[in-house]
Amino acid sequence: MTTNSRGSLKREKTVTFAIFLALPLIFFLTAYVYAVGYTGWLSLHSWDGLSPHWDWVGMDNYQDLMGSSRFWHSLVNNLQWLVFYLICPTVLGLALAVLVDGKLKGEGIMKTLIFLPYIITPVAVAAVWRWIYMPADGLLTSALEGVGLGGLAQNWLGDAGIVNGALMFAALWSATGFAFLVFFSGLRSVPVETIEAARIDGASSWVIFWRVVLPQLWPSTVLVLGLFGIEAMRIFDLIWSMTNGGPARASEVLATQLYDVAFTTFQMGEASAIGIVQLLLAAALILPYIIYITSHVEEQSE
Amino acid sequence: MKIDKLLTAGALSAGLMPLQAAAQDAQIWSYWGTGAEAAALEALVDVNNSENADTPIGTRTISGNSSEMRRAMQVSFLGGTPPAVYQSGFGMDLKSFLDAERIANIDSVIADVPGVAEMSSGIKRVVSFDGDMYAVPLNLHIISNVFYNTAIFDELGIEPPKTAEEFRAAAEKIDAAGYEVLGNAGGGSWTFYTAFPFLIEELGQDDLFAFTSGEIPFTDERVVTAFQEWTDTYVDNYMENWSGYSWADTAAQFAQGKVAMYQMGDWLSAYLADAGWTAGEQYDFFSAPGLDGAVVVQMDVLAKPSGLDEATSAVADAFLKTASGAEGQLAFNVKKGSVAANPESTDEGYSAYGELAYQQIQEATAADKVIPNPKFLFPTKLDEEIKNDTIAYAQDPSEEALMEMLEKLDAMRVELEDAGEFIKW
Repeated sequence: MTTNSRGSLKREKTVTFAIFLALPLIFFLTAYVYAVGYTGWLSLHSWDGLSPHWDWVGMDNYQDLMGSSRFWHSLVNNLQWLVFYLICPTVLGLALAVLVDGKLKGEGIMKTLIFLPYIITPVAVAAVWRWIYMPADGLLTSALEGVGLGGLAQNWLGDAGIVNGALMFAALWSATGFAFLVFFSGLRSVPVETIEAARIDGASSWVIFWRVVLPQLWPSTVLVLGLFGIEAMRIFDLIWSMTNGGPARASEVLATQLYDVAFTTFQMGEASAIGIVQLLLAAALILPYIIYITSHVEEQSE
Repeated sequence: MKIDKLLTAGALSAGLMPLQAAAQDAQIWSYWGTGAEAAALEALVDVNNSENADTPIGTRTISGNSSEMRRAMQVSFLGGTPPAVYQSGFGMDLKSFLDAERIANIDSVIADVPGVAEMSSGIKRVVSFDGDMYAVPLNLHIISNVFYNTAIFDELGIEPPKTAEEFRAAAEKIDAAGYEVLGNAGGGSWTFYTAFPFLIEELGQDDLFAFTSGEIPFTDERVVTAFQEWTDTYVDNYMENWSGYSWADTAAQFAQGKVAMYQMGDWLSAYLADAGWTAGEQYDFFSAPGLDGAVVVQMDVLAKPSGLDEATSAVADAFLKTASGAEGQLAFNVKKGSVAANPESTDEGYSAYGELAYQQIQEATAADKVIPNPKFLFPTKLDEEIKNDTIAYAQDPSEEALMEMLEKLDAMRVELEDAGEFIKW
């Protein structure tokens, strides 16, 4: 190959790469960088969403947020959701995957039943669970009364003390399917030979799971934890559809507060400040995950 | 000569075309997109387009509510393509458009329409600024009526109460008989709505406007008394677990005969009609205690954006005249199940409940006691706090909690007053 044709091939490659990169780059710059920059700039202003003029307020919106008990309450709720997502659907999804993995009759049906709730849109999930949680005629209360445990029935979505737990249970029903699917796929990729070898060495089922299977599920675990971590920081639709953040803001999280401040009281600057804080918090939680996954998991797959 | 004429005709056509195109595209934007609401708007547009065949108007539905409408309007202003007319809230919502210089003064357009001058002063007060009207009050829904189950009242020998004292006596009998006394719902401002009659009784109409203008503290003795009376009469008698119900969920409990009374907007009558109930038979209603002939109403208004081109502006003006007139309002309200704001409109075609509500509003209009929903007169930020605080308080009422709530709200009132956020209604 001559120097000229080599140079021509290199140029062609460069152009091809540039073309392929241009689209996502343009999309990233316009849909993300510009939008975040615009929101950040707006967060330094006061604007009612209608007036042609923005009033410069500097860091006032952020100062107001830091002094607002409503903001801290929402943030605490987000952190509760984070703890919930990282533990409950993750552990339950893993347990179900281990249970179903080749040990149950009707595996196909079980897989479908467990995964199905995850593909239902959150608004539909909310509608179903609102009905289940109805105080008087709801399924849960009726079922409890049916088995003589009516005394345990609660005002599931109307009591500030238990509303977050009730919402999380609905989310658990929906999210477990995702964790199940990822862990189930992970289990299928664990080499049978390693398990057999451990069994021949006399290891118990528990030891095999803990020492052999679980370490090999690490990529699946990282994926599930990472995505659930993101979900915990951006959760909106399920809460908004079921309680609007109520009763009396008890179930409010940053995303629902942002929506309420932006589109009910039309304080666009303050809402933007909430959005920026939410972004920074999510970044603080998610960036280590992204750094980890782009290094370790890729190394492992190699 | 022929060429001259052709050129002149061509030039005129070219000049007129944009105007005609704009006029043909002129629309009313609303969120009346389905069911009775969509049918109501269609009926109004039909009246308009037959009355004003040269300036017809089209419709466009903005899915959602006033928030989505606001966003759609914002985008339309940015793009320079606002509609001819749009559905708006009254009070603070309307004022925010005026402050942003986005709505037109329509006083001269509708002032001469028969019946407009006779509209209740309370209604005109919340669509007018500096004495000029900026929106057409189109429909009224009473939100101060207490619906009751006639079978339960008959069974217990209860007469519709007129005072808070009579209400409490009736509540005692209902509770003793094992029924839920009074329906309520979580979310929204339903809980705050039920406090209006007590505030009106204590403050009177003029001072209620002063209260919503930020001139009367939440810790004012009369306001405190109103909330105490509300607690004793209503809050203590709310149905169990009310905060877990939507208004429609509670309506279902009422329609199942489990709840004896329910103060709700008169759209409840449409819900009950669907359940096979008829006003005066399975259910009836009475004015909330202490109102003395006054009614509190929820209403939709129509406004015209500022800066429209000439042709679109002409379409808007013609439509607003129709919408404020007796015939247009009748066409709309018969379908929607509300009552016309124009007192010259008749009750022809109204439902059994609609006829009674019409009569109630006519009498209140004659006495100048039609009071627009105070919720929409407070600064939005304060209104949101009141909404949430009243829900939280009513779930666990006590004298201490009441004072704590009122003091917190008053601190916000002072802050917003200092920031110039109140409007002097």
